[in-house]
Amino acid sequence: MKRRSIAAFALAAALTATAFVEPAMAYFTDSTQAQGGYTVILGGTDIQEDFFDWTKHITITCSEGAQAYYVRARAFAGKTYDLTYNGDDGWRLGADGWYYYDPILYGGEQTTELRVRIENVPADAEPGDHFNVQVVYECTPVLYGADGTPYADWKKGGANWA
Amino acid sequence: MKRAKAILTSPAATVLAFLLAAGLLLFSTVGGARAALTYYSDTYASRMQLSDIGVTLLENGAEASGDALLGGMLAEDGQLTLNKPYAETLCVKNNGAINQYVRVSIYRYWVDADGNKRTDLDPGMIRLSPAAAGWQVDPDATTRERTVLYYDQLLPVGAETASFAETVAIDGAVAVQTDDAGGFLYNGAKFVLEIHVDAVQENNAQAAALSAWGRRVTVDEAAGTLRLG
Repeated sequence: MKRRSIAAFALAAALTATAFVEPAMAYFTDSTQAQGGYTVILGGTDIQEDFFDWTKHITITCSEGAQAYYVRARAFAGKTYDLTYNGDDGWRLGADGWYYYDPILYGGEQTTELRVRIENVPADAEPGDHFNVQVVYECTPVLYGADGTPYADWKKGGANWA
Repeated sequence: MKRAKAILTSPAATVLAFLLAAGLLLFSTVGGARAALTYYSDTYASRMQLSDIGVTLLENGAEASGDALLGGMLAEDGQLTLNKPYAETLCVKNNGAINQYVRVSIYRYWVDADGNKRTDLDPGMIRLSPAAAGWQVDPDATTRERTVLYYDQLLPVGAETASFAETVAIDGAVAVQTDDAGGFLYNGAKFVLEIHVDAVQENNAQAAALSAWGRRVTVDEAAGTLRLG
């Protein structure tokens, strides 16, 4: 009997309490979402260099699927030897001494050949003699201006020595 | 007295009382139904319309949802070009039946080949052009990965917001960042752009926004404007 009274009291109290509960408000809402993206492939560039007839024959390749780059190259030989450059279509001598390849190098593409001839080679030079001539090339990702015009920012480039 | 008490406490009396109560209950229900039926007539037709709220994300003028975002981004080039601003005009359209206030949450992040988030890669390399006038950035909810924007005008039925982005580009700096092993840090990583759009009703929008979005906003119902705080 006592239990029943307690239960009845509890029930009455609970019902009374519900009278003070704020009415739940429901609002009209809606939502939607979408997503997407692409994988970045950075294969980079690579230089191929052949040496014969006292000439370095240089081409630069952009890896398949890689980003598009601008490239430039130059060679260093100290004061011992003079160097003369001869580039196929696309190569241009810049005011800073670099040779610039003007076309954009897209993934899977290769530059035309840039030849660097070593002059003043001693007449008695023999195979195996050491000639310290280094070729440096740089690549920088193609940038686009507000009007969509592509350009290069060489401060963002990276040097590669060969 | 004793006799009356004995009758009242007998099982038969209990059963009788139960049957009586059940009968009364049943009878009252029938009565109510009959009353409702007599109220109905051909003269009076009741009509009820439920309001419908609907919101759509528009990408370059077409509806985008699910995994369809950026689907046509590389249609021209075939491959992703760094630094190139791709056309990505994003806005919100009210395709429901009531006016609404809207907000968008923009998430930018990188994932690996398995879809796991790469928290070591910078979401800032995924560049969206700034939102047009009318969109307010919520500084309290904005992080390097997430940007939350509130549209400060009521969006009428059928109307579109100003764009909250015009272009998307991947910063060319990803091409020159290397990891400890000398490899390209971002090589093989996938950038993800994720947009969430939320809408709340026009009426009592201030309370609705707080309830649905958890964000305190001030709504001028007469002017149809919304501002944060």
